[in-house]
Amino acid sequence: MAGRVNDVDTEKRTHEQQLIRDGVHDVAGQPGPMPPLIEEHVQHQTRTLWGDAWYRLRRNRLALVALIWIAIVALAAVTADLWVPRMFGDPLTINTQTASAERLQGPSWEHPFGTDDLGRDLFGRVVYGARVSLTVGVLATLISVLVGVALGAVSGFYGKFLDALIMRTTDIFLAFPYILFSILILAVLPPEMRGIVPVILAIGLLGWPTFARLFRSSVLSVKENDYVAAGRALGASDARLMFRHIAPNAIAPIIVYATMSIGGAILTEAALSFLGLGVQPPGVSWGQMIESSRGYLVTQPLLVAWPGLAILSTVLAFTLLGDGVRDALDVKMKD
Amino acid sequence: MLQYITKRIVQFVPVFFGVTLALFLIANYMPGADPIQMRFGERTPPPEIKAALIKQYGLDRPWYVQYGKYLVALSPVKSVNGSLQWTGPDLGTSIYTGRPVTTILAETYPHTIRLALVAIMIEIVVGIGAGVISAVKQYSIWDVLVTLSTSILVSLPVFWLGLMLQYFFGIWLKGATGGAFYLPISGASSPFFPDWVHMILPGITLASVSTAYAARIMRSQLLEVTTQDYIRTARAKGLSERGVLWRHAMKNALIPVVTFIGLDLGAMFAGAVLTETVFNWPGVGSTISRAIFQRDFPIVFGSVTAMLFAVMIINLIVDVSYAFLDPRIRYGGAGE
Repeated sequence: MAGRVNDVDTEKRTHEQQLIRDGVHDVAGQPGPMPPLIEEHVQHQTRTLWGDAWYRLRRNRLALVALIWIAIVALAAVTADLWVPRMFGDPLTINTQTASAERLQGPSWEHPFGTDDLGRDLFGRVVYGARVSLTVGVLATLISVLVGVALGAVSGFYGKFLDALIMRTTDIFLAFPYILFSILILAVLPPEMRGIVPVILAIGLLGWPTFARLFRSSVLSVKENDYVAAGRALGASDARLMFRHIAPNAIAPIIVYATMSIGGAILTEAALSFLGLGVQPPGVSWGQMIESSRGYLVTQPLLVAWPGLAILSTVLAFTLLGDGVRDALDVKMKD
Repeated sequence: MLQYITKRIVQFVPVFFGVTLALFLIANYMPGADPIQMRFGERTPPPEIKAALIKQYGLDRPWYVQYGKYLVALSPVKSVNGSLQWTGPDLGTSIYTGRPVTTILAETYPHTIRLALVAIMIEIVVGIGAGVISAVKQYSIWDVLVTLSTSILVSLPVFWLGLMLQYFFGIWLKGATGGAFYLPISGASSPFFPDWVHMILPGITLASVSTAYAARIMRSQLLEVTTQDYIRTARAKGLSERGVLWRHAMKNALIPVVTFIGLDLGAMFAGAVLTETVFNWPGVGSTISRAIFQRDFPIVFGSVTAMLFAVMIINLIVDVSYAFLDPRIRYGGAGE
């Protein structure tokens, strides 16, 4: 298709490009051999930037496995209410009739991960814990991205005083591990106010500075491009320049870092829950499961092992997916 | 260099005021933050006593006056009866024991620092070692192993790693060897082990994440440095691979790693809260987590404040010593 449009300047083509055009003609139905390598080349020419990135991501086997694992965990978490209580019993309530007989069982067909100290099915609890972890991971990152991108855009686009103010603020935030601040903020809250919402807000509102810096630096480099100057010369408003011309070309590092930071937010949530600052019982999260079953490390270590493996596999998947997205979008980032 | 150091110190000023202001706002204006109630813990103070305390502590004054008073309380030097004296910072008193938080910190901090030093030693030896090996033998089985294990380590919850180490080295190994060989999993001392053995598992746990990052940075830095011209020159001069690596490549590749290790001390404090909780290590971290469960807020607040100040000062020292380490800054002026 592309070949036909470009037929006019066939003279100028190199031999290689000529071959590609021939390949396209073959697709269009004309007889002739069609080397697969050439077909691949043609696909590259007709894909968009994002299509191209998706194509490269699919060919990264590690990233693909990570994506599939995240999809499985997410699907299980979203549909949990439909099948978990029916197959494994309600993982949140304690059945006082059977609790003493069913407690601390090892894995079996009935309870694939075994049961906890109150006779509840561990597999069901791990699936329910995924809901909290994924919600916190995604929403906290979303908050960080929105705040960070907005402030980074202002900082990079307008510069001067606002830039200095915002960048000094990020300095302050980045000088400290934000988990220390989130411990403080959440420890002040009375226990009845603790739960998933304060955790999301704390992680989200403390995590924006990295996004602000990333977006600022890519806005700074993108806004020097000729097409931005052209847009400005044609009378485009600041908002139009920002949203139509700069943002789409500056967003790639944000996507990469956001993918990785979902995993980071899941880890932070687990740590905060382990310290008793996150989801409170009878709610369930992976970190809180580990905290409440610490005492059974000697008698039934699986109680501690399962939620930890769930955290590890999910966070690792987001890290690997992030690496894959980085390579696919060809973003250069430091370690 | 002087210009660089001055610049760093000037940059330190807004960080200091930003952090103290943030701490002040959290303690006084967060939902649920009630400075009077915090002094009473679970009990409810009678309204007339509450009113008197509000007046006594100046909580009815405007926020900037209170912030100023807070800064004065934090200052280690205060004027007592008209003359300046070293009184130490005032971080409040524990609700449950009534002891000053500074006294509690003085008891617990040495343990935390001891553990952090062990962790940093592990980080330097294992992190740099693994990074060098995987860079020198790029794409070898060792490289794959290091890359894989660092990815896993940074995706692990620290406290879970601690619990798993406790299980395998303290419980499983004890059972498997019939009680002949195992590692202690709780506390800093016991009649059964020399003190340093108690530091092995918590030390490894605390070092884990930082070691993984140090190895990654070491690897990428070394790979980057070895593509530079002066390395090719050194090889062309006929230097041995070992000479090129240790005399030329490492010198430049190490600078970012050393900076990372220095600046990472802050993260190590955060990790200490979790690690010490798991291993019942009698440091600041386990004090914080116990205080969270007891709702002894002055301890949580005072200890975290002390940690943040330690991080601030360490960051400043690392930044300044950077100037001495890196000749490009030493002779190049302000840097950046």
